[in-house]
This record gives sequence, C-alpha cells and structure tokens, in this order.
Amino acid sequence: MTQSDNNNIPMLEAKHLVKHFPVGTSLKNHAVHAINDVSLTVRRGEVVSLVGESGSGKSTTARLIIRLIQPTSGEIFLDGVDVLKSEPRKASLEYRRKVQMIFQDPFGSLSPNHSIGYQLERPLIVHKRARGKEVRERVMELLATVGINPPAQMIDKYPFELSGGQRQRVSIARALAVEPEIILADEPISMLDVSIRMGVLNLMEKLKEEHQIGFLYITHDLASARYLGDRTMVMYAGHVVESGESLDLMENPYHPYAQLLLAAVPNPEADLTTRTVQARGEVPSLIDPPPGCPFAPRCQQVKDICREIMPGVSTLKPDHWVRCHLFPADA
Amino acid sequence: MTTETVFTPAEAPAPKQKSLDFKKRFATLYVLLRHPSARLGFIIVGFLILISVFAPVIAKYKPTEFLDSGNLKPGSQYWLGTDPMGRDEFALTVWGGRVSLLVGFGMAAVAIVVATIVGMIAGYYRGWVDDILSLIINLFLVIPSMPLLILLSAYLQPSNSTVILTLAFTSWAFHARIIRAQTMSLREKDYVAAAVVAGENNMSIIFRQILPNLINIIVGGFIGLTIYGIAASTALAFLGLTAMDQISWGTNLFWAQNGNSLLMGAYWVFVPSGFLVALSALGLALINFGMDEITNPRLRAERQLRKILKGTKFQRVRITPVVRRTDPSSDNPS
Amino acid sequence: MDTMSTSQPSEKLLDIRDLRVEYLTEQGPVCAVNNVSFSISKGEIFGLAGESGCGKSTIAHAILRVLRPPAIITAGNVFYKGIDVLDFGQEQKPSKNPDANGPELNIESFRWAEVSMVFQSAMNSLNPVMRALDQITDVIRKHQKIGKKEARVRAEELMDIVNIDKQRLNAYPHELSGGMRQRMVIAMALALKPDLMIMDEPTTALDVVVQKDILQQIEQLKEKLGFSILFITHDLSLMVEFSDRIGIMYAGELVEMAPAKTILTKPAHPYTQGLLNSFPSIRGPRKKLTGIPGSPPNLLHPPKGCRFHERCPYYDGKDETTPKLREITPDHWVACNCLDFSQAGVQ
Repeated sequence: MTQSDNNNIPMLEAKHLVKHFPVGTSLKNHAVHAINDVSLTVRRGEVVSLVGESGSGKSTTARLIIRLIQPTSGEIFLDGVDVLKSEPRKASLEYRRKVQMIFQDPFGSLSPNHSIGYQLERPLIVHKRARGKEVRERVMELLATVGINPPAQMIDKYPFELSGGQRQRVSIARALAVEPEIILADEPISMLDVSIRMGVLNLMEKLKEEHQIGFLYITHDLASARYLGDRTMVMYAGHVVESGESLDLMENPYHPYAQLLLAAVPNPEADLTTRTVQARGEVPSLIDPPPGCPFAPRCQQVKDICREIMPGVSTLKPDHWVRCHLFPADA
Repeated sequence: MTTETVFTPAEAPAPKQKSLDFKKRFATLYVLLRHPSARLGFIIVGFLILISVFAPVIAKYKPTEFLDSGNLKPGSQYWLGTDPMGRDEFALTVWGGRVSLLVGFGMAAVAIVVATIVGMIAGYYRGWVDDILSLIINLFLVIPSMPLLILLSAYLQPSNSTVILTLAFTSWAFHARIIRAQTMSLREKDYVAAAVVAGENNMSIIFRQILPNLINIIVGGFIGLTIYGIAASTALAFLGLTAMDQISWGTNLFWAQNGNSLLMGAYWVFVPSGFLVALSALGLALINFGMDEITNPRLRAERQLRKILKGTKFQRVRITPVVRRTDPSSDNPS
Repeated sequence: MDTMSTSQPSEKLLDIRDLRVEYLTEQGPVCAVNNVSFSISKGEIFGLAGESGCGKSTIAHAILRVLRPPAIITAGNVFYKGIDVLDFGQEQKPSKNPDANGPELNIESFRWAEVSMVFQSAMNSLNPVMRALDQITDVIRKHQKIGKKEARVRAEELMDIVNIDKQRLNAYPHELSGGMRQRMVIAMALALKPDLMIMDEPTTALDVVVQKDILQQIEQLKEKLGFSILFITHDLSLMVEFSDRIGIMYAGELVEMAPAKTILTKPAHPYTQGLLNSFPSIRGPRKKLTGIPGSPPNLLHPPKGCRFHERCPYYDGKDETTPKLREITPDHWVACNCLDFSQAGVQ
C-alpha cells in the first residue's frame, strides 16, 4: 500500500491520550494514572491488536476511543477530523455510527429483558438505517451474516435462550447494524468456551475482509493477538511500549517487557523449565507513579536514566517501534 | 430454568407471538400464582377487594342510616351489632374497605411513581442533579413522618385526596433511595454501555433499559407502600384527622373510641375493622414475600433444592453421598 | 473395566474406576460424570482438560467428597493407596486397607493430610478479615494437635517453600498481590504434606507472567516434596507444557488419555483434534484455525451413544453405541467407534 493510498482510506487516530482518575478525598490529591500518552492508528480493513495484562490500560483506552469517558488530554481524529474539538461534550450520532464496540461479557452485554430482534432493531431505528418492514428484514440479514441460523426462528428469542458464543455473535451483529468503519473489540472471546473462540475470531476476520472494517482487538492473549491482528501494540502500566507488525513483533520483540511476555506464553512444544522467567515482581501501582519507565523496577537491563525519564519512541524498522532507553530515540 | 439451551440444527418452528414482552410479563404472574404464599396473599387481598366492591349487595342496611340504639350486641338482625351511633356495624365494616383500600392503593401509586422518577433521574444522571435530588430525598427521610402528617392534615381541608397526597408526600423518599441505588448499579452494566454506544439517548436508555429491570423493586415497593397507606390512613382517621364524613376502617375505630365502645367492652364495634386492616397487611405481605422468592434467583434456587431433596436423606450431609444404583438411569444408553 | 490394567489398586496412588456422578434436578437426574476411569502414579502430574460443563471440576470435588447434594455419586470406585474413598462414611471409623502396608483412613484423616485441593479462584475466597498467619495456622491446627508457637513455625516454613517473605504473614489478603495470594493458597494446601494435590484452574485469574512463575515453582516443589498433582484447566497449551499425562474430557466422559507429547503430536480423538485446532500458536506460520462448530450438549438430554457425534466430522451416521476407552498404542487410550486406529499414530 503506497502512502497516497493511506491518505485516502479513512482512519481512526488517537494522539497522546491521557486519562487520570482522581482518587481519595479532596484533601489529598491522588490520581490513578490509567493511561499516559497512548497514540494509535487503525485503518479500514486492518486489525490492530492491543495486548496487555490487567491494569495495563487497554480497556480504558477502548472506553476513551468509544467516548464512554472523556480523556484528561489528548486528541482523537476520525477521518482527519478532531472529534474532541468538533463535538466536545457528547459524541455525535455520526461518530456513534462510524465507531462501534463489542464487549467482553456475552451475558452482560445484551439486555435480559428484550428479544435479540428488538435489540438489533434499535440501532437501525435510531440511526435511521431502515424503516417499517425493512427493519425486520435487515435484522434477519444481520443474523444470517453472523451465523445465527435460522434467522426467522432466532429473531424473537431472548438472550438467556442463547449460548455464550451465540450471544457474542449477536453483539457483533448489533455493532454491524449501523455499518461502522471501526469496531473496538474488548476481549470478545475470553469468556467463551475454547472450542467456540476461533469461530468468533474467524467471523471478525471475515467481516474485516468483506466490509473493510477496521478492528481494534483488545486482549491479554498474545496468541490470538497474533492470529487476528495485522499489527500488534503492547501496553504496560498505561503506556504503549512496543508496536509492530504482528509476526515480526512476536519473532523479534525488542522491549524487555515484550520479551518477558513472549517467554511466559505457554509453549506446548517445550518443557516448562527450559525457558525461565527473567523477572519477578508484579505490575506497579498506578496511583501517582514515579517518573521514568514504568517497567524499570522489574527490568533486568535497567539503567539509571530509566528511572528518571520516560523513553521516547525509537523506530527500529519501517513499521516497528519501541519505547526503551536501550535504543536511540527518534529525532 | 437456568440451564443453557443448545442450538440444535433442526428446531421445531416457534409459534408466532405478537409481542413477547406481553407473554413474558404474564408468565411471571402465572408463576407467582403457583407459589403457595403468594397465592394465599392474592386470595386474601382479592377477598377484601370483592367485599368492598360488593358492599351494597352484601350488607342489608346502609352504613349511614341510624337504625337503632348504639352498641347493640350482634344478633340475627344486625350481624355485627351496632356502633355507638346506632348504625349497622356489618355495613360499616364492609363499606369501610372502599375508602381504606382506595386510599392505600392510591397513595402507594402516587408515592411509587414519584419515587421512581426521582430515583431514576438521580441515579442515572449523577453529578449535581444527583446531589440536589439526594439532598431532597434525605430531607424527606429525616423529617418525622407522623408529626408532619398530623400537621398537614390539621392544616388542609380533609378529604380523601388530601389524605392520599399527604401520605404519599411523607413516604415516597424511602423507595426513591432504593431505586436510586439500583439505578446506579444498573447504569454500570455492559448492556447500558452498549446502548450508549449504539447511539440511544438518555431518556430512551432510562425507559427501555433501566426501567424494565426495576420492575421488581417498583412492584414490591408499591405493595409495601399500600400496607403503609392502609395502616397510616387508619391511624389518621382514628385521630380524627381525615374527612370524618367518609366511612373507612379508621373512622369506624374513631367512632368506637368516641362512643366508649372499648370501655364498654363492645368488641364487635372495633374488632372487625381492626381485623380487616391487619388482614389486608397480611395478604399484601404474603404477595410481596412470594414475589421476593420468585424474583431473587438465590432464594429461588434454595427453594428448588429443598423441593428436590424432600424425602431423601440428603438434607444434612458432610460428605458427598454415595448411592449405588444397580440399574442404570434412563439417560445412560450403555 | 476389563480393558484397563488389572494390577492391584495399591500400585497407583489414585485409581479411579467407572466413576459416575449425577445431579438431581427437577427435570430428572443429570449425569455429569459418566463412567470415568483413570489413575495417577506417585510423583506424576496428570492433567484433566476440557471445556466448561465437561465434568472435570466435578471429578475433583468427588475425589475429596466435597460435592453437595443435589450431587450424588452413583457408581464407581476411587482407590487411594488401596482404600476406596467412596466407602468412607460420616462416622469417624477408619476404613480397613486390603494392602497390609497401606494406611487406614477415614474422611477426616484423608482430607487435606493425604489429598488437598486448590479450588478455582481460591485466592479470591480468602477470609478478608483474617491475617495470612491465622488462616494458615487455622488449617494446621484443625488437623494436628499442636500449639500456636509450633504452628507458627510451620507456617513460616511454608512461606519459605512458596517464596513469600515471612513478614507477609501479618498481612491481610487484600494487601497481597494476586500472585502472592495464590501462592499462599498453595502453601495452605501443602500444610499437611499431602501426597496428592488437586489444582482446579489455579492460574486462570492471573497474568501470564505470574502464571508461569507459579507453575514453575509448583513443579520445583513437586520434585522436592514428591507429591502428585491432578491439574485441571481448559487451557490445553498450558497443560501440555506442564503435565506428564493428559486426559481429555467431553460432556462428562473421558474421550482420550495419553502422555502430554502424544496428545500434542498424535491426537486421536476428533474432539482432541478440534481442541488443538482452537489454540493459535505464538510461533511459526499463521494457519487458519476453525475450532469446533456447534456447542457442548445439554446434559439433561445428552446425545445417544457418543456424546460428540453431533459435532464430529467423522461420524458415520449410524453408530449409536457409547464408545469405550480402548488402548490403541501403549498408554494411549481413545474412546471412538468411527475411526480406525489400526495404524499407530493417526492423522
């Protein structure tokens, strides 16, 4: 893809997002630094995997981009338009059409009191995508697209009558109803049975190919991140520490945390003891964190500068950058 | 009831239903009627409503007629005797249900509607809206209701409507707080976030997503408030603070006290009305109890477990029972 | 089962034979574990893999007999060091051991001292108002008549074994990190030096780095102290790395059992193959994976015969008998009627 092609494809760009949650009473001014300086880009027809452990800030990033919460600072560009400037208080209906989301819990993300047909009708009606009889037909099309068959019989069922995998497919259908350009998927398969997961991931891949939808796939599972994502970004304690093309990043991780993560992923072909874990310790507290790189306390290759200054971006290959003092920062 | 349904490839076609919310709501009612406590409660309340509605038919005499001398013992002519003013006590008792039940249900309706609206808005919008509404709720909770009731009743023109309004005025805050808390917790659910992401506006979310999940609390609150309404209106009437030209269980008690029926031991004057007040409270409480058991999944599971284990010796065991069967059970094909 | 080894029960540490567990429901009994047999030797890590509802947790609870009604055990034997655990009654009388050298046990002396368990999300079920020290000494003193001081010394030993600083004994659970809490739970499970430890999804709630750390520590402990492990999880790739032998369960039945490497390289049962086809790898070329179509059956009305046949690509359409576990190559057992395993190493 040439540079000029990129300019024509609408994209979602988040720049330097920061989110601090105030905590404690007003007497002591503490804040949880959930996100610090996160930037990412998602293009149409591309899957970006956002990988991180719990507490890394990946879910918060999703909620910022879907505009369920307001960032403390930073910008979000959709199709080149700075949406936080043009619609500061509430996201416009147009934004909600273009950017959609799938949630983690298949049992909690569907309203228990309405049939799935009703829940799929609502977005169509609210966004005026169809009217009258068309609405029901469109809902049946959506059900067929995501593999809920036969649509005529499933359309009036309630969520409790469906299995976990089916509910998640309904959630995908709901996101699809408004014909979005970008879908954020927050751990969509982690609560599903193992043998069902691939089906849902393959569905997402199919939608990416057929409808040219961009996906931001958020997960803690590196293996599925590699499977689905064209590009992968690794987050730690509210920062993106490495980003690159998925296969390349998993083969050649540069950041010590990424290396640690990859070494810890279960590898059935090896014995447990062949690859020992390099660093102990756990994720640091996010309340009023000390300056410098958040991984410094656990890093085997830590230098003095790591504890003082957050490393800048070092672009090591055309599409592979890292934030680490082991590498020279870009100019 | 909670087992996962399997997606079997060939399913029997489901019957077409106009609106499934309709079917679902009646399903709950049907289940409720099968619950023994709730059924008894419905019977009691139904009985009371019926005798009140058909009072003119059941009672021989009109309750307003002064027929005979006061405090006459029950006999073949006057089934419950007469009150101190000489009116037929039976007629007074069955006619009394009309006003008492009307005021009770009416006040509950007004109070629960106000509580729901205030609670939902405070819980959903939070921020300064919540701060102000919470302040108001807390204010109403803190003010002692009985003295306020008495004060208001003494000031305003006494009539059924003013009684309903004053009772609702002093009792809505309790349930508003509960509804607010529940709304705040429902607001955090994923499907509410999904509705926001889908582009629904706030009003739509409040009425389509949050309100349906509050139905249990609202109905439970309505029933609880009715109990309170009947009891409190009876108390007010006993003190002479309602419209005294009405006939209600409370006014019957007032006239009983006024006419020295208690001193004279003329129990037939005050016992029937008092008994019916208590009976109404019992019936309503039983309905509430049944509803609790049905809607609370944990209580429901416990009830089911008790039913399943009835008759076996597994009620209290410390280790898993071993029951060796010689014949395989029906679902084991081998 | 006449197709399994007929050696004396006392050679294996744990020998489960034809275990059946049913749940009584309003709609009738649900067979959650159907004729499951396997055994664990001394010092072995046996993994039980399967998805939700397959019965692996039920088996674990049944071994310790901590299942509560409406669950009942309806058939089978659980031989532990020669004694059938299912013979234990509520009374304190110990069961006689057919093996003259074996122990005599009752339910009290069996639980925790011989077999202990790390329950699923146990780290989140610690008593929030008791200090770590008290929770551990509680366990010890419930089973052994020793004084407070002695119990404290033992607790400190246990903390050393699981690599937690002794100072943390004074902490409350919420003051400890997730990994520490899980190690504390493991310490509690080791308190009475059991010979078999059952671990039910011990690392599912933990980060992958902490998970690896803890499993390595457990393996080192196993080498040092010599206990066996029954390891239960749905994460097959983790299990292959960690276990010596693996049993694959589906809808309450054991469908395949083999050494870990064999399961990985030569999976015989179609369900195992499908399961392996659900785990993307971290290395090597990107392959398209399909998982398994359909969903697990409703155990209230399980499919006739093989419980997997509705989702199986090899089903011949006719067979209606329940497959029995057969040994196709040494120590490789499969329960499947439709595939021909005459050549060793299928697929």
